[in-house]
Amino acid sequence: MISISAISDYVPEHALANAERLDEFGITQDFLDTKIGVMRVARKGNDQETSDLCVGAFRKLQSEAGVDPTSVDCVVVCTQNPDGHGLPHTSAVVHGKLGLKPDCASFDVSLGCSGYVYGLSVVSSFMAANGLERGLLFTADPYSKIVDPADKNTCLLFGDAASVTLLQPAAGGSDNWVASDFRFISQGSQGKALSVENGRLRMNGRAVFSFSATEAPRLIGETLARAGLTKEAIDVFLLHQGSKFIVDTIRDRLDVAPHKVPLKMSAFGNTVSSSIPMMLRDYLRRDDVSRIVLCGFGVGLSAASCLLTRNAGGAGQP
Amino acid sequence: MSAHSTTVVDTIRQVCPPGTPKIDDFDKPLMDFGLDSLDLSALFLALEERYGIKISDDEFDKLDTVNRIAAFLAEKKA
Repeated sequence: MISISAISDYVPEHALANAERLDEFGITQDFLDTKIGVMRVARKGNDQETSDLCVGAFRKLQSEAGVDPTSVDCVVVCTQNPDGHGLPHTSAVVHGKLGLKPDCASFDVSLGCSGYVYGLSVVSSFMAANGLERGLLFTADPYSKIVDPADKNTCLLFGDAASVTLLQPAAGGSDNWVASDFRFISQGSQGKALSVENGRLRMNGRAVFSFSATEAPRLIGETLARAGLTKEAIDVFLLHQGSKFIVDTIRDRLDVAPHKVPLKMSAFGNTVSSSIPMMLRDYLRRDDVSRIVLCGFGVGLSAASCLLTRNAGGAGQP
Repeated sequence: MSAHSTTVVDTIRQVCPPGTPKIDDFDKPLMDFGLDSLDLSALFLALEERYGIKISDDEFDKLDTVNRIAAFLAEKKA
């Protein structure tokens, strides 16, 4: 049984302050506060590639969890904004930059905001099927490469960041979390609602909102049904941080208390597939949390949800 | 006031922020009452679900007042 044992993230130092752009886009501070929910959007340096963001996350993982690079058996990068044109795949670039061993599998997963949940299933299954002991799931999708700086619908929303999740066989006596009850959906016919045209990101906000507000609560309900749990048994629902408005809307539709649906995007923006792991890392060591539901939704259009359960051996550990 | 316009106003009350002004002029654009594009997205999704219909982006752009929305709903459900 493969489990999550640690998560680290990397946020570039540079950021743009949205409050300084209100007049430029004809929006109010209230709209920024109550609807977008993002005060600053993180921006990678011009000299930073997607793989560099991954390396930044891994360096933090090394210091926080003491991971030995030579022990890594597989590296997966979830991105749709890879290094260069995606050839070679960014995971291979990361493999090279980290100096990982030759018998370490490396591949990319092309997904956006649902990518972390999909990635957990892909990497866990891959590791279990091939008897691997230690895997790294990276998320790094720097939308600054494609955001139109004149498009207020996207440039005030998306920020650059990366995360890395350490996956290994569940072990008693330490904090680790097992994912289960995955559910996935796709609406490929709606794909243009969030796509790149002529090198620039285009988003039909209404279409993405309708999809997310409708499908995310339904998918979460299916995950709970498969697990035989009610929403009251869940300590925290970690939703992709699309915007404050969409998170608030899904929370209302789920009919759960606000403290169970945290927001974490104000300081860096919607970081696409990194938004869920950037929240999840805050809960891995919390003794008062034993069941977490994850749900990502967006590009595709697609969505995915799953249940995370604290491994019994880890409860109560510092 | 038609049944549809009552439904529209009730739905606005349900999906829009508590501070949204009272909709007292059904021919006045909803954005003039302080509704923004996200509020309208939420309103139209709620109406789609309530009436079991789909409202296209072209229709969405034209339906800017309570009376226009109510007339559209009446035609769809006729």
